[in-house]
Amino acid sequence: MGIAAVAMAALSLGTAAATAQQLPSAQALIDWGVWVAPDGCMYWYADGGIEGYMLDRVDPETGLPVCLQVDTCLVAPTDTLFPTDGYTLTAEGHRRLLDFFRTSGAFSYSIYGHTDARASLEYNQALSERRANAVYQVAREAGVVVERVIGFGETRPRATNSTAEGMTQNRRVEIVCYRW
Amino acid sequence: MARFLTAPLMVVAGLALSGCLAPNPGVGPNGELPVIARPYDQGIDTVPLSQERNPAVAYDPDGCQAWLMDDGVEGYIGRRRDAVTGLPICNNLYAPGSVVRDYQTGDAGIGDYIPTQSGGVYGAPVGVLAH
Repeated sequence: MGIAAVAMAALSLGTAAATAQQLPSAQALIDWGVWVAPDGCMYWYADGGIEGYMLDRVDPETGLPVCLQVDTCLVAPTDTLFPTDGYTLTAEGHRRLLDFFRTSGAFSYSIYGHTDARASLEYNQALSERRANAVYQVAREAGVVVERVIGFGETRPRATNSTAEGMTQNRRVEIVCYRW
Repeated sequence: MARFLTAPLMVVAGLALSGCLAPNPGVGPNGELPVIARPYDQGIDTVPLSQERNPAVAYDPDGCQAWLMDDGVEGYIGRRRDAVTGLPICNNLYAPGSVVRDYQTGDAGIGDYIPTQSGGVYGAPVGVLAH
């Protein structure tokens, strides 16, 4: 029996097992409504009379919350903050970020670094972390609360990496603001 | 002083106003399942939660934030998460157990009932973990 035949056999076995399962019958239904939090993320809720039920809405594939918008109050192209391949802020980049942290008014922030897909995964991972950390140092200088600092390397592009324009968009630092 | 209603009054008022005195009806004549909860208020509060825009922020015992709303006889709470990473928002800006901003919805209809039996209304939460 070839590998394909084994795989087919396993697949049909799995299907048969699933249909033969004894599932408990549903006892009731919930008619869910949607509540949207101030940050745009969605929650299922329902009023049961003297009970309330609530659950965060998640993407079944990724487990991530489902949000109408993301409060990335700053998406800065790194070309305007750092020299090529560098992770020391330019004087202008430093001034801009310091001004941003001092005036944006959120109670805390997260800082995410991203690169384009040129160079190796490892190199891009390290570069994104160092750049995010450089931005974090400015946040500390401004005296604001930072929840977390993460470098995503090239793993979360926002545009294609097959054009120069797309790669420019992918080289970025995102700052997410948390507000009351 | 709506927030300090006595317990018996609160229970009677809550049951009468919310219209939920009937027991679980079971399966309908044609096998229909009962709908045990719906996305609108079934008491005197007629504004659905979906229109509520100003939740409070509650801190759990680990210092992580949740959205909190007291909608009359129901309470709702949901984990606050970062939209990009899905990770929770946790900090020590407030002590665990703190509730920041008004936690009662504007149209709740019935004030919050706070039990007074266990050590009074005011004071530190008993169940909070040491940090």
